[in-house]
Amino acid sequence: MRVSEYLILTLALVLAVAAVTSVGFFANRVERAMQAQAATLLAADAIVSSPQQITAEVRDTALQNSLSITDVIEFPSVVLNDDGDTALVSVKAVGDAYPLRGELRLSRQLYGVDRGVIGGPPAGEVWIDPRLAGVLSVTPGDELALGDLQVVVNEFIAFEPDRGGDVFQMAPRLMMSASDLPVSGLLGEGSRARYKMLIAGESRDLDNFAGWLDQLGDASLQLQNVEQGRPRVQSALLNVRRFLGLAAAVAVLLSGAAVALAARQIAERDMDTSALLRAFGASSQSVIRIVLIRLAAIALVASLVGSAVGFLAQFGLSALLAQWFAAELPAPSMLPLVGGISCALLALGGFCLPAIAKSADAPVVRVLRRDLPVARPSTWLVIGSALMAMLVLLTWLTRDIKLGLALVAGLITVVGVLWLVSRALVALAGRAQAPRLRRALEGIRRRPNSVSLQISAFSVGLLALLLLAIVRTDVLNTWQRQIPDNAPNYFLVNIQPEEVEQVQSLLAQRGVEGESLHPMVRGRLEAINDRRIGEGGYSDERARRMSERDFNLSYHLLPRDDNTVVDGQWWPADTTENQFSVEQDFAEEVGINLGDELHFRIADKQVSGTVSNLREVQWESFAVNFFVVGTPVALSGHPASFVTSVFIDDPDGVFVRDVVSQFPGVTVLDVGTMLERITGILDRAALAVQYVFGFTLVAGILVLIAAVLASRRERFQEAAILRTLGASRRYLAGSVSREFILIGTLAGLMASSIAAVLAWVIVERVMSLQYEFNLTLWIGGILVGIAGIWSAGTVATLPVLRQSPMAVIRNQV
Amino acid sequence: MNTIQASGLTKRVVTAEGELVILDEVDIALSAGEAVAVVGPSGSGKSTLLALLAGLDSASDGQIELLGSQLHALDEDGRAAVRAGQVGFVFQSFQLLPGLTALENVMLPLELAGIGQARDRAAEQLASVGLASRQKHLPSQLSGGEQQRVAVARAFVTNPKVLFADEPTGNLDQNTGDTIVELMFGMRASLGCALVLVTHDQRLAARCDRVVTMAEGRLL
Ligand SMILES: Nc1ncnc2c1ncn2[C@@H]1O[C@H](COP(=O)(O)OP(=O)(O)O)[C@@H](O)[C@H]1O
Ligand SMILES: [Mg+2]
Repeated sequence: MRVSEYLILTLALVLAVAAVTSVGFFANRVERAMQAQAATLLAADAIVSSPQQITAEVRDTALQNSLSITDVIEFPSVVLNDDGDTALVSVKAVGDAYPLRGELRLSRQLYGVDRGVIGGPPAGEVWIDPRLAGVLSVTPGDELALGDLQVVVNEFIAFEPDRGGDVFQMAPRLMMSASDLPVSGLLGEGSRARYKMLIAGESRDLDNFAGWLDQLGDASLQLQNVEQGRPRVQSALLNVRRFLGLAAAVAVLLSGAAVALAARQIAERDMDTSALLRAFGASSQSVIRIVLIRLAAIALVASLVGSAVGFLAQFGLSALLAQWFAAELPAPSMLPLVGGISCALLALGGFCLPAIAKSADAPVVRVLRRDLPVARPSTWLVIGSALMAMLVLLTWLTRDIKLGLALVAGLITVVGVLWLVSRALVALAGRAQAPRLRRALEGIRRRPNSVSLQISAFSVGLLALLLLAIVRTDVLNTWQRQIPDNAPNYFLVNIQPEEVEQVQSLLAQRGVEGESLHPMVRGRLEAINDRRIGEGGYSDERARRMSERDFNLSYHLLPRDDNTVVDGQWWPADTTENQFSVEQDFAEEVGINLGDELHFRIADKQVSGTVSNLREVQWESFAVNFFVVGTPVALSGHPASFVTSVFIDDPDGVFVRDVVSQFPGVTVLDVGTMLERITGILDRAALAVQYVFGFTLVAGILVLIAAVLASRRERFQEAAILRTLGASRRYLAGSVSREFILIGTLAGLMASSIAAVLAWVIVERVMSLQYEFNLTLWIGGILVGIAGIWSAGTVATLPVLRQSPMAVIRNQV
Repeated sequence: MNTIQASGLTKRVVTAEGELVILDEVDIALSAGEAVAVVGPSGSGKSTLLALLAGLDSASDGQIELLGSQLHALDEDGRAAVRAGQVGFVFQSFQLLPGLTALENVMLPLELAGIGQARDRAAEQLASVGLASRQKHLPSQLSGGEQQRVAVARAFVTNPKVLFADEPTGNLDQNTGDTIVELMFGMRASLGCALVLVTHDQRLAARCDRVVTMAEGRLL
């Protein structure tokens, strides 16, 4: 008999460990991939950058710290071909050791086979972006004039590791040797170059160097490391990891509940043995020791088995999220095992020790009076120790005590609400008058707390799964459906000023008339009023990053129909002043107010102007929009490219081919593909979280079985009496089935309905979309509730059906 | 036709020390309405015999006919069907369903036998054991004597043809036990049902038509 309680205890621990380690192993692989990938994205382990030449002192210190270094200097310039055609290029002068991490890939022929190389171009030679080859019609061996130099084009750049994901990159790349720079005459006074020193080495040496740099206190020197260089997909992945951790934590919480239930049963039985042992003179310590040794053995077995299951399960997670990663993920380290074992100990300690400890000091008089009420540990002690365990676990999973506390509070709220709703449902059902369901209702009435626990434990997992299913299908679909049919499906970027008219006529041929091409000027916000950007005062990391990086400005004279001025006035058509219009959310985030003076650096010039209005933008319209728009007076004199978004029905890709062949410098972005990719990523993320919530559902089933086992003695007695009075086995099976079908209906109803309400809140309130109730999913949820609880309940009560009526005579249940 | 007709009843159980014969070639018969007391020392096999006669367990050997059905040829469900509505039980430890009220406990055999108007009949029966005011009480809210009275009401509510009682006063004090005995014998008399009564109590045994004694699994 007792075997089944220990089995449940062990299974629950296995499940908790498996949930935690599957996420742990997966996160570990992702982290290792990120480390490796992020380093190649910087082409280094860290970068020191400065608007001025990096001093010898800085270089020497880096070398003294046994770090390898190399130079990268970036600046815009113009090149000329033999025919006198010019093109704006984004020059990158690199040292011999470039790139320190990752590799540069080159091809001899335009779009030919590429190969990896380490080291930049030799002196006198340049490597160029294929786009530039199109613009200037150069082939390998051709010469270009670059400043005072004549350079030979030898290779095309197929892949540049530290290029970044900037699709709006204005000018094509031209890579030259840093050793050519001094004689090129390109870097005169006031030139807008960015000097970078790439660094690579051991992390201890890097830390030492970073410490020294910090001490130096030179504000013009910025150190960028792998962490900060993390692209956005990876930070999204970090969030997914948080959700995965949360899902695992919920599984641990439920497993903990199963552990607690099983432990209580074990403790109550042990109490008799313990009382007997103590009546014969054993000390309570020696009794406790026996119990602890047994639990330690269980913890060990559960950790090993659980970790193995977790290790296998992480393959599923990695497969689900595979498309997030460019390359195969590296193998995990064994570090998550420590987490798994700690988790088992924690769950065991937090959820089971109070009950077990209590059994050891069972009153010895129980030997004489078995009907004495069993001593149970105080409920507060049990709950308190469980909460402590959860707090430790969540803090460890999220590496953040504040978040841990918030999550524990959140869990208490969710579980509390579910518990209250189930309790209300049970009370309501208990009052129902249905003759056929009488025995089922009676079961619910008799054990309201146990049934509420079963309902809430099962519905936590079900609720999460349903909600994610709704998000995956309905929310993403709704979002896509509500994009108007004629919303732009192509973005054309990098249109050069002289191409504007031709592009417009090409568009007109395709039936797109009057679509404006928006000028785009790249600039960096240097100061707001007298406050320089980067001087701190940003509470929000995102705001700081947004204001620090280069972004795109546009200009137009007349207000646009699809933008609404929400504060201030649009400028008059005859304005001769430098004025700016700022998107309201951006303004709020970066801290820009109406009337502020903004100072931009555009190429090598400074442009200042007043914020005369704030705009509201309909981003979801997929029209081209800008955070900051200026008056033509302010911005039209600077190098610009043009951008537009159009709707063109082009299933055969003819339009795209036309654009690419006529305008090699123009980039066509397919919105549909981008959307698909975004929704695909979201879908996968939700699926991965759902996957981990699968553990929660299983844990819910374990809680149910543990709760049913706790009532087993009663059920055996009932079955024996009913058999004696002439009940058939079918009758017993029928009444057990009805009971669990009823409980399953309540759980399914609750999970489905709460999921629907939450989905409504998400869709209508948070996303401001139109919510459509999904009846199939609602009914599906109820059916899953019924099927899950019915089958688990039936399995747990099977032995009861085999109960012989002899028990009423032998009194042996 | 006899209410019970058993011959060569044998029950063997397998224990750690090997096979144990706990009932050895017992022959016994009860005519309709007859009351038989089974007495004997503890462990002599009285309860085992009662269980076999009532079809609660299956015999290892021998034949039992209960109310015209050959129990030895039936499986557990078949035997249960014979019991339903025709056989009443009173046990030493009451054996009420803890989750049901007194009234619901009494209704149970009626429902299992598919007899109508269960509620009214049960209420009447409960009143006849003096518990009319305790209908809604759960067993845990009743004293031992009251629980046994509910059990007696439950045993008789279907007008059974035979009643099995295994030491019905064993858990009760003298006075309370006497009350239960009076109730039981009173109801049996008015219904005219047969009775198999296992007891230690010689006074109780003396009230039956016949007394048989068991020792070491045999009828003396
Ligand atoms: N399933 C069993 N396994 C082993 N021994 C049993 C079993 N059932 C009954 N016995 C033994 O059979 C003997 C008769 O038991 P029982 O019929 O309960 O006696 P009584 O009711 O006369 O006290 C006892 O010694 C008892 O221990
Ligand atoms: Mg007995």
